[in-house]
Amino acid sequence: MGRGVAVALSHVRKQYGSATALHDVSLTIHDKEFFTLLGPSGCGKTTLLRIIAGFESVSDGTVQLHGKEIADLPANARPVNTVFQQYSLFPHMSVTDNVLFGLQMRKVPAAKARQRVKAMLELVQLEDFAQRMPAQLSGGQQQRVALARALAPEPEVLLLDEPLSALDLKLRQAMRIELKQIQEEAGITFIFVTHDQEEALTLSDRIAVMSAGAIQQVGTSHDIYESPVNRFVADFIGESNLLESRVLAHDKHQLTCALPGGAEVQAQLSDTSIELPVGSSGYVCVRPEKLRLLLATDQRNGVLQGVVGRHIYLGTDTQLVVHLPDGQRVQLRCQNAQQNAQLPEPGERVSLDIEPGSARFVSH
Amino acid sequence: MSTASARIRAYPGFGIVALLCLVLLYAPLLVVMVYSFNDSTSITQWGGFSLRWYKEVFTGVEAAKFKVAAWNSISIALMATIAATTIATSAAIGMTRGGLWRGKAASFALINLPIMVPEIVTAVATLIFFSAIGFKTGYLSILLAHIVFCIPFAYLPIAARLQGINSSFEEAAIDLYATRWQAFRYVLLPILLPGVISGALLAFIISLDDFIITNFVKGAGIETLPTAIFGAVKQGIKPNIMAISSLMLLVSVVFVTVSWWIGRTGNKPGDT
Repeated sequence: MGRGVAVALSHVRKQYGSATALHDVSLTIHDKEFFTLLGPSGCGKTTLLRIIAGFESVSDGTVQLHGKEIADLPANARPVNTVFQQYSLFPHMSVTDNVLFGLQMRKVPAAKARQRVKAMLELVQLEDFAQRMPAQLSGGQQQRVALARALAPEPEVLLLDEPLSALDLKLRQAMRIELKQIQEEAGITFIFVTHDQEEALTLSDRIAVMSAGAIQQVGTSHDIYESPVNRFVADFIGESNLLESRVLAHDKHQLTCALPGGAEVQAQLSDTSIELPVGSSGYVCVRPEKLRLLLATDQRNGVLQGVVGRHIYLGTDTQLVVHLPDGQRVQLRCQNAQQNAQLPEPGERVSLDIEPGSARFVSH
Repeated sequence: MSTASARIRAYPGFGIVALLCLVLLYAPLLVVMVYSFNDSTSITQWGGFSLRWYKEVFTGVEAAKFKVAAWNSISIALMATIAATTIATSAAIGMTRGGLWRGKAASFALINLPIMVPEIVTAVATLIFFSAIGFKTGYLSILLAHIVFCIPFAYLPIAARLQGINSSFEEAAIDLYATRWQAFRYVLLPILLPGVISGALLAFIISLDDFIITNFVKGAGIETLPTAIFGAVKQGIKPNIMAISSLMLLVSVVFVTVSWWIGRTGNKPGDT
């Protein structure tokens, strides 16, 4: 990337009594990056964010901010600010006073602080609401005040703890675009925590997928969706067909794998840090949109045979469930682009093909 | 609301029980108030409307005695309130913000125990304690005893409100470079204030009208308003006692009403 390192976590461990919230987390976040910690609730993503903010201490490991060790600094001495999940705007202060708070605590001269508040309210388009109290604002407006308040003291890194989760769908989608624009305008590193994969995929430069207190994969949205490194990531991000499989042969990370029904498929091993010997078991991962239904006119057999289960109409496409002879099921998506596309009826036998180069092999 | 009250009204005997309770609770108060305006020296016979007993309270032969007692009561109540509210606020913050620590449940019980313990027991115990350590009874012993028994009354409304305040407000303040003290002073305290005022008013009233403990620990030569009234009543009930009582009742009602009103309007802190 050729950019400086904003935050570097090295072998961070967090223990609560006998429970381990984070196991040996190491992570490098670049300058001006929109970095997302994505995972189900309880995966440790918020704990990790709170460690960077200074609300939690580390049991072990180091936390560096622009090369300086900060693990022992209290939260109020760290040049990072947080946008809280519930916004936590001070209810007894006006919008202006909320945004001013951090500047006052940092003893920024009054005239300069006023200017900064004005600039921040312009950035989030709330100039006309400067004198309102938080309770007089809508959810989306409160969200933007929280953002302005956290950005006002010019933090080196902005931390966002599920900031959009309290908004309704339409507003959430609109705020996503705005958030990305604000990040680009402010030109600082954002570390964003969410359990919403769509949010993560659309906003992030890079994503760290977390589960059970550990980082499962770090990569761009494209990497994570197209090349999940393990079963958890494949399953958690988007929809996947995970078919039990065995490695038959391998050429570096290009594997030949067995499919249910005996056919073979070329699948790439996404996790290039490991080597799997012939005979290793795991899963072939195929996205539903990468499975193709073979028509009778194709005159050939695909790699999977099965019986059509049910159709689920989803608007832009229709989801089809196909039962394989060994009891496993696969889903595929058929686009509804053509008005009267003929879909096989439930009970019909069908043959499926996998888009060449799209299959991935993941171990357990 | 109206349907619920309609339902409870439909219970057989509701009306009579309610009436009985109201009469038993408030009829004596009403009698005292009405007869404080009695022109007669009798406490049972109505002799027409007059403010003479109120005049008597402020200018009569016992006026000087009551004035000193009232001053003692008010000054003790004020100081006890300030001390007890400060301690109760610290305790509430420790209890709700201090995380989990050994003895937390026991501490909660200890803070609130004085409300449960019969007052006479506390009174005797406090007196024994003072005499055991050789503490001279008087103004200071009353003040100390009042600070102690006011704490749980101040604690309850403060802790109740604090529990409703998300700790992320303080975290936000600290995140924005505030020290712990600044986070308390500029963020938590203003949000908590209705609870603090509510607790303080309650403590003030409790201190102002305490009789049992005060009577035990006051020693000779000093009176608060309640002990002075009791002393006067022992020599026969005169209508001026009713006037003093009515005045105290008025102060109590005002304070409790303000306390309730503040607690109500300040509800739902930052519930946004």
